[in-house]
Amino acid sequence: MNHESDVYQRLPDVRFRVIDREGVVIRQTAGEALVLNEVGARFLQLVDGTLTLGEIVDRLLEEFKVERDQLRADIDGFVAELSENGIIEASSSPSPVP
Amino acid sequence: MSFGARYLLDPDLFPGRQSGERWGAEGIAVELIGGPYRFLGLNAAQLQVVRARYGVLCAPPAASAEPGVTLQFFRIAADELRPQDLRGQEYTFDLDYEPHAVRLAGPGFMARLDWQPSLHCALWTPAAGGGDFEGICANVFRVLVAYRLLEQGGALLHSAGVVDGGRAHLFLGRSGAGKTTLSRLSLEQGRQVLSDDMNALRGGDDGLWVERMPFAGDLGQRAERASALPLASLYRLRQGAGCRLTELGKAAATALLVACAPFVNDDPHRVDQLVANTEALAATVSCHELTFALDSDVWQTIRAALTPRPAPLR
Repeated sequence: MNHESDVYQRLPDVRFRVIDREGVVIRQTAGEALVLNEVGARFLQLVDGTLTLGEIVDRLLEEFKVERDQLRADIDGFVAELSENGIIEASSSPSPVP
Repeated sequence: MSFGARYLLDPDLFPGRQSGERWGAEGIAVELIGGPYRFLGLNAAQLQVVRARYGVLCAPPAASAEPGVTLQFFRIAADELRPQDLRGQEYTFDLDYEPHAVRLAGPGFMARLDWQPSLHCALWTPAAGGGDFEGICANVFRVLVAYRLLEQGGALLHSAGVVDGGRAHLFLGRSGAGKTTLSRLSLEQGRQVLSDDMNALRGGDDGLWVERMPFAGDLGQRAERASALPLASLYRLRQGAGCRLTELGKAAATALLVACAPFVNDDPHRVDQLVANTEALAATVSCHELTFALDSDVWQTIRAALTPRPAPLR
């Protein structure tokens, strides 16, 4: 379970691009290219090393018609999946992604 | 393991620039997309190998006024390289990516690509000719072509290219995805296979074009001079039950192209260029996932899906 105050950032070898509202994630060290749906792509866009998970959830609630509890649960699972796949990591202190 | 340690006795002695003792004074140009590629500094035996390997694509070095790309060949003593026993092993080599260069080290060679002032390549090897030289030359040439296409807005793709109705269909996937299987099925039905391993994709004023590459896959094609063919569609290959096509979005198509662009998709200094190229390429063509079984009629499925249907009158 993540805390609302947790901050995440994309790893340096990750390239990310939004195309037709979907996200393309390229993780070079694994030689992988993944595709994210619209909400997933927007989430990863907002993971910039400065916004907390709580702030990101608030932004997504403004932009998409989703229930807070459902979104919060989905985000928890998504953060775990992205972390396991080496796409994002917890940021010890908020700092902008270069 | 650090760069080159598997192949070089002292990786710290890797040349910092393109210089050395040339093997000879022979030269030849290989006319291929992005070229001509001028092979310089060859001896007579190496020249013979290049001529035999690239056949009708070969021309005198000065035959074209296009600047093209230079590949210079230099000698290196065999005892500067670690002895390799490649029996039963997959052939790999090390790449090291720098902002203005790419370094390569593999069994029997080291090479570097530099971009100042423009893309050019040097290859150091103790192989004076024969099969070892052919393999070394082809492996470095493949990397060179991948980078040349990248800087020209295209991509070299791990793919099987099959011609149907005068247009090329590109089936993408890494080793084991079914490229050679699908190529064999297509050949058996009388279709032309461009390459079952690597094909070049580039944009043009009037759509996307596919060019055959002289890099043999499991079907062992040889070099042939061939015109570029208009691209009909891209496919992500998946072997499974039955046969079906599922349309993919532009993001999935871009991801597929990036994943199947060897060498350059590992390069942190140039991956942004690759993503930009592939996004532009994917924007102008349809892309599908093709699930197929050995006994399925792939081409009937493709034709049924891609043939435009007349619009209802009302």
